[in-house]
Parts: sequence; C-alpha cells; structure tokens
Amino acid sequence: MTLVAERPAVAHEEHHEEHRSGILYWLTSTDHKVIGKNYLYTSVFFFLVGGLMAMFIRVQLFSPNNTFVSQDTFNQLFTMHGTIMLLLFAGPFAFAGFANYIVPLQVGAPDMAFPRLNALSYWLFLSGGLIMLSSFLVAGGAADFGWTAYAPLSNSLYTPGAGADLWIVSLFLTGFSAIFSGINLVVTTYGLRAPGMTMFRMPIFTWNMLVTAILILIAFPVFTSALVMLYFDRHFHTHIFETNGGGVPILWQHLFWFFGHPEVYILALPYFGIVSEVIPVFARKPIFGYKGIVFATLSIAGLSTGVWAHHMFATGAVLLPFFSGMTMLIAVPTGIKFFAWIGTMWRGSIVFSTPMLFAVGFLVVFLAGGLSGIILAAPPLDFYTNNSYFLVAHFHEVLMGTAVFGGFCGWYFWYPKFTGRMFNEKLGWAHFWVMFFGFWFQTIPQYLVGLHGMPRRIAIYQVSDGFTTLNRISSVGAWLVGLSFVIFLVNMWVSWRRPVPAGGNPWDGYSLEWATTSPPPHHNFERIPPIRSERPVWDMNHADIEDIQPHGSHGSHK
Amino acid sequence: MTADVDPGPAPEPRTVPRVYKGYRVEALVFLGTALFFAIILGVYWFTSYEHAGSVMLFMTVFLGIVPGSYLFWWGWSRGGNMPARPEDSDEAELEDGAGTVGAFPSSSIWPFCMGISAAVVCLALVFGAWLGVLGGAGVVATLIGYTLETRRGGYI
Amino acid sequence: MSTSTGAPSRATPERRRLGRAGILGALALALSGCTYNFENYTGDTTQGHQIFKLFQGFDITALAVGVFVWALIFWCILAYRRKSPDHWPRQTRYNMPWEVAYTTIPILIVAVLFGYTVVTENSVDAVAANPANHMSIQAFQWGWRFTYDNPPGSTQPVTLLSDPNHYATFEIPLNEVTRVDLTTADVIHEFDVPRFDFERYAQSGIENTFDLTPTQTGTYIGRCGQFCGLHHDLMIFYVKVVQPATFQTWLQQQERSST
Repeated sequence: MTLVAERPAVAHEEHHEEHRSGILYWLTSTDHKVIGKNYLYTSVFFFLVGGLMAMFIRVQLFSPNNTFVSQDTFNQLFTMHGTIMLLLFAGPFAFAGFANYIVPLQVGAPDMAFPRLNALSYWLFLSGGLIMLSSFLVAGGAADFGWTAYAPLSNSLYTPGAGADLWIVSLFLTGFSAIFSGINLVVTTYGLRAPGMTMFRMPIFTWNMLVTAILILIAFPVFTSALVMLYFDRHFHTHIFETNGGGVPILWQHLFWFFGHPEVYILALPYFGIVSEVIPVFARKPIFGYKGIVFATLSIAGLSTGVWAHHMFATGAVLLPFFSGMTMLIAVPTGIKFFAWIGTMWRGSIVFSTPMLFAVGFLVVFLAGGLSGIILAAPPLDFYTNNSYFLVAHFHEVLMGTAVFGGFCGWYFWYPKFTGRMFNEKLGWAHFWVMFFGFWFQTIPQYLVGLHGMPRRIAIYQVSDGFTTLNRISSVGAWLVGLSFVIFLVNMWVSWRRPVPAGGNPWDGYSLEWATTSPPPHHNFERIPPIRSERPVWDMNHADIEDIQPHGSHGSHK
Repeated sequence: MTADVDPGPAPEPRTVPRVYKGYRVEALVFLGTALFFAIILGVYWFTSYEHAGSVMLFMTVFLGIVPGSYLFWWGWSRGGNMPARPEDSDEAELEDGAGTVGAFPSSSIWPFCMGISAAVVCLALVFGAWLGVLGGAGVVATLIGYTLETRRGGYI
Repeated sequence: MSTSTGAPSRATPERRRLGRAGILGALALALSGCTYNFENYTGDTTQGHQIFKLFQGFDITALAVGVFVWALIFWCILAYRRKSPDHWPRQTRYNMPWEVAYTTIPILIVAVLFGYTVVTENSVDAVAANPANHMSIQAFQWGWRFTYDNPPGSTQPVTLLSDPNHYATFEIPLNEVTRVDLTTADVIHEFDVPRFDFERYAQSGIENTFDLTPTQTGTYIGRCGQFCGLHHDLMIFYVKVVQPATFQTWLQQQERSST
C-alpha cells in the first residue's frame, strides 16, 4: 500500500502555454512562488535602504552638536527610516513574501486563491515603494513629519511640498496591496486546503498568517481612509484635522493608531509563526500546546485592536484604565506562546543550526522588549518615558526581535526550499552573533539614555546633556548590526557562486512544503502525503515514533 | 497496466466520513471576532468620552459579522445539504480531493498593467490632473483586459 | 531513544547546593531592588515621586519575570542539546497543569500591576482645589510662553518667552501646588521635564491641566517631547524650584521688568 496518493490539481491551463522566459515571464507570472520571491527580494532591498538611513542617523547622533546632516535632512531620514522599515520591509517581507510562498505549500494548494490579484498586490507594492523612494528627489525633499504624520504638523500649512503627498499616495498603493494580500490569504486558507487538513491541523505559521490577514482587513482600510482625509485637508481645503474650521486634530491620532497598533501585530504575528515552525523541527518535538497557541494568537489579534490609544496616554484625552488594562492583558497570550515555545524545547533534542540560532535569539530579545512594553502600558510610567529613547529602545527591541531575528530565522530555514541550495553555516553563525551583540550594544544604552531624559527625533543634543557616551555605544552597536547584514549578503553570494544542493527536506521538516522538491515544481506537488496531524511529513518519515496526543486519541487531532 | 495482472475485487466505493459540518471553524473565527469586539465596544461606548474609537470598533464588529454569518449560514448551518469537503474530515484520503481544484491563471500581463495604471493615477494626485487622464485610461483599459481574460479562461 | 523514565536524576548534590545558592542570591538581588532606582529619576515632584515608586515596582516585576523566563530558555539551550543523531525525544504535545498555570499566573500578575497603575494614575492626574500658583504654558514652533496668571499684587499676567535664541528659566515655589494649563499655538508639542518624570501633550482643541508640586529645589532642564518640525530639538527651557519667598520676589521682579 502506498503512503501517498495522487491529487491531480491541474488548473484549466490553455494548451498553447509556452514557457516565457526573462523579463516577460517576470512581468506576467502569477505563480505564488515567483511573487513570493519578488516580495522577499524587494523588501530586503527596502531593508537595505532603511538600514542605511539608520546608519546615517546613528552617525549624526554619535556626537553632540554634530553636523553630519542638517536638521531638515535628519527629520526626513527618521521619517523615511520608520516608514520604509515598517511598511515597506517588515510587513511585506512576512505577510506577502513568506506567506505567499509558504502558505499554499503548507495547506497543500497549487497556488493562492486569486493568483492575478496576488500579482497585482506585488505591482502595487513595488510602485508604491518606488514612489516612496522618489520623494527624496522632489524639491523640499521627502516627508519629514515622522512616520506617524501627526496632524496638524502634516497638513499643507506646516508641511507644504510634494514629498509629503508622495508619502501619502505611496502608502495608499501599498495599503491596497496589503489588503488584497489579506483577502487572498483568508480565502486560500479557508478554501484550498488539502484533504484531511482540518483547520486545527494547519501548521502554526498558516494559522498566524490567517490571523494576520484578518488584522490587515481590520487595520489597513482605516489607515487608507485617514490618508484620504489627510490628502483632502492638504489639497481640498477641508478642516478634518484642524481646529480652525471645526476639525479635531486628535482624530488623526485615533485613526492612525487604530491602524498603527494592529499594524505592529501584523508585523509580529508572522514571525511568531515562523519561530513556531522552526523550534519544533530543530528540537525534534511537536509544537507544545497547539490549541493554546491558536487561541493565544486569536486573543492577541483581538486585544491588539482594542489598545490603540496607549500611544496617546500623554494627550490627556483618552480613557486611561481601559487602554492600559487591555494592553497589559496582551502579555497573557504572549506569555502563553512563550511558554509553548519553551515547552517545545523542553526535553527536546536541540541542534543549533542557523535557523534555530535566530529563533532562540528572537526569544531572548523579544522577551526583554515585551517586558519594557508592560512598563509603557502603565500610563504614569508612560508619562515619564513616552517620547524618549526608552520608547525607541522598546519598539526597536520588539520589531528587530520579530522582523529581523525572526525574519532571518525564516530566511535561513526556507532558503533551501526557495533556491534548492544550502548556505554556509559558519557565515550564518557569524551573522547571528555579530547581530546579537551589536543589537544589545545598540539597545541597552538607548533604554538608559531615555530614562535620563533624551527625547526621540532630535538631531542635536548638547555636551551638557550627558547623553554622549550612551549614544556612542548605541551607534557602535547599530553599526555592528549593519555589519552583520553585510555578512549575510556575503553568505548569499557564496551560496550563489558555489551551490550546494539542498534536497527536498534538508532539515527533516514537518509541514507539507518539505514534501516536495526544492524549489517546488509548477503547481507545487506531485504527491501529497496523508494528513493526520499538523506535521504530515514527520508522520510520513517517522511513523515509528509514538506521538503523545491530548486525550489519548491517536491521529484524530481536531 | 497490463491485462494479465489480476486487479482483485473492485474496491468498495468510499464515502468521505463526514465528521464536521463545513466551515465551522472558519465561521467561528469571524463570528468570534465579531463577538469579542462587540463586548469591547460595549465597554468602550459606556466608559469613554470620545466617539472615533466606538465607530471604529463598531465597524470591526461588522467585519466579523458579514463573512462570519455568511459562512455560518451557507456552510455550517446548511451543512446537511452541502457535500462534505475532504479538508474538513479527519480521515480523508487524498483521492477524495481528486479532480480540478480550481482555475489558476498561470500568467497574465494585466496585474502589471493595473499596477502601473494605479500608480500613475496616484501620481496624478501629486503632480497634476493631466496624469490622471493617462492613468484613468490605463485603468479602464486594464479592467477591460482583465475581464476579457477571465471570460476566456485565464490566458490573454 | 526516549529520555523520559530510566534516566539518572539530574539533581546531584553539587547541583542542589548550586540551586540553593542561586535562589538565595536571586532573593537578595530582588530585595535590594527595593532600594535601587534602576537608573530612573526619582521624580522631584509629589506626582513624579509616585510615578517613580510605581516604576520601581514594575521594574522589579519585569526583572523577576524576565530572569525566570530567560533562565528557562538558557536551561533548554544548555541541557537539551542533541546527544546523537539517533536521539529522538518523547513527543509531548501538551501538559494541562502547566498550560493552566502559565495562563492564570500571568493574569494574576497583570491584575496586580493594573490595580497599582490605576491608583497611581488617578493620583498623578488629580488636580488640587486651590493651587498656590497658576500658570498657562503655551508651546509654539519653536519655543514656549510661560504666563503667570495671577501674580500677587498685580492684575496683569507675567509672561516669559523661551525660544532657540534664549532658553528661559521659569520659577515655581517649593512644596506648593503649581497649576499648569497647557496649550499650543500651532502643532502638537509636549511639555517634558525629565526630572519630574512627567510629560504632557500640548495640542489644539484640548487644554491639558495638571499640577506640579515640587519637592526639591534646583534647576531642571525641560524639552519638547512631541516632534513638531524643523527645530524641535531646540525647544529647550529650564524650570527652577525655589523657596516660596524667593519665588514671590522673583515674580515681582518679572512684573517690574515687563512693565
């Protein structure tokens, strides 16, 4: 009896489809794997651009009264650094890059539910991103009001010029790109799963992408609407966000943060999912507390939508106990996930290949970032640290923990699947350790200098402020992180020049993407193994090892 | 398959054991979202003194109700009339999902054209309405092309 | 090969001694945290001091939780390395007692933290009935106007201007309540005095009112916290806390020099 069966999943293809090569293939492809790789490479390019801006920021902050860049340029730099990193790198890298490539493979589908919509999402993202970068070239330079674009600073009186308008329309395009990706993800997960893959047998990464997609549908339309309102205020003489005219400036903050907070969970949840894939594989155990993690992820998504005004505590105009209580509650499901990951490693058999190194690095870093978040969740403490470097350190810790450590974890884990080659483990180790040490040297001084009163978004500080030493250490740390990225690029170049074939399943992975070749063929699967749990490939390869199921029921994992 | 190999008795026609009504978890994800936000909305409406948040939470409840109630009605509550999906069954075999999965257009120029046209329309918002004419023409042309492609079955 | 039953116990005598020493050391460290200020300013107003106390509590809790979870992670890294290519651990998927514990205990911790937070924030935001000193502070791009609304012996308010050319120092009396009404002339700014552990937004359409009751004399630097445009980093001012008698004298001097 064969273990696997045919699932002829051939679409209505025209007979005369010839293989198009080169640029025309790239322009017309709707294959989720091609689109996923497009997103991955494009968002890594934006990571490079945003990272360069960060390096320049840290040069300016290296010394008091520094004149490396002018104040105006510095304001553009941190605005664009934030916008590019959050909206052009971290998000698309996860919910469009990895999700596009991996989710159809993990659910056993031949492609995403709407391939042309998927391709459209990518072209909207690319054009929006290029428009964002082009804003540096217009008179007046790029947008310089911070990625948060608070009104009234962002209206046409205080920020005239095309740079801000280009910022707005670029985010309009990328916002729709994200919304379409979200729709695609939900429908793919709901409607294209392989036989036997019930919802509670989907891999955790797919669950996290589903929840991320729902968050995208909740958050991005609000942001897009707010951008339309801002555009109208700037050009059509409405006064939505101006008091002279009957408007309410704080409305912008409500709208923006109703998007902005779910946005950071849109950024974080996919990387939680990636880590939930990597840790079990490298610990040789199933994920611990599967249903707990699923419900925790859903709780995080729900709670995260209800906490937006914790970014507004110091306005004095929001309901403090509601938002601080909800924010502190998010620690509970996040803690559930943390303990589930630790429970997965507990009494496991762990080997520290590069993906696992980054996964554990993520755990160490994100824990600290989450704890500083609990501190910020208390309004009185937020009154102290609100717009200081304590906040900057907190959000860089959580964002870099997830997007950078988690992102590289996913990259190294799935790189063999995307390309069919292995990378150099020694260079991967070097990448991790330089980044890890650089990161702590960057972050801890920022916490301290924030407590000492250094506000964020300042280009110049004085010798008498006493911020110099801590800023210098932080700058060196940030440059080390930049150096680690160079090591990463070298690793990729070495892997390209001296390919080492990876095979279908180099890590002894669990989920369906490891059941096919590297890279997968068109329409993904020749054969799919039977699906009786969330790790069908493990079940196929290690049927002799007993699985400890809840309630003693073997195989019927709901 | 050679003629002299005896294939044995014909296998029993296998029916997919229907364990669940379709779309149960899927509907619950959306309905649960709606319920959760309805509760939060209730708390927020009566305790806060601003309206923007209440409106946004209210719309989020709708985000859960609309797809959730559709999936509930069409899939879950009507599950008796709907053939069981193989992906909802614990014991499904791969043959149960055999056949055409769906239409997946394998290559198309129209997404690229739409992306460029949309970008030009957006640039019109910054640089002038004349770009909007160009972009608008592009959007209309692309919509026509997209639709014709769909009707023709997925290829230009 | 499973590592569950039959494996030798890991709790050797040396390890037990080390474990006890570790627990005692951790306890000592935790108790000393009650006196350590974790690099925070102690908050030289009554409001700020309450914030500082809350911060201490949060820091200790965060550190305790962090050390505990990091210890678990590092234990996993050290103790559960793969011993051989054929090392297949027990495939545990669940443990209900632990799952219930790690769901409920964080809820309890959060509830306690939340309780303390609500008490503190109500106290910090409370405004006194009869402040000794009443000020209006208006932020603008890129400076401040400090206006004393009811200086003694005069009907005219006294205003000090602070801008990038001249950072002003305004004075407030020690141990007395200074009521501040914070507004803006243009975009959103933020009144930030780090040593008071306190910041508050100045935004149009919303007048923020708060009290400062300083407990320590000295001159403290103040900044704009919320990014407000080109010279956001030059919106510096100083607040000087002096004895009430000195404050009255200074205020009368300001009145005379402004007329």
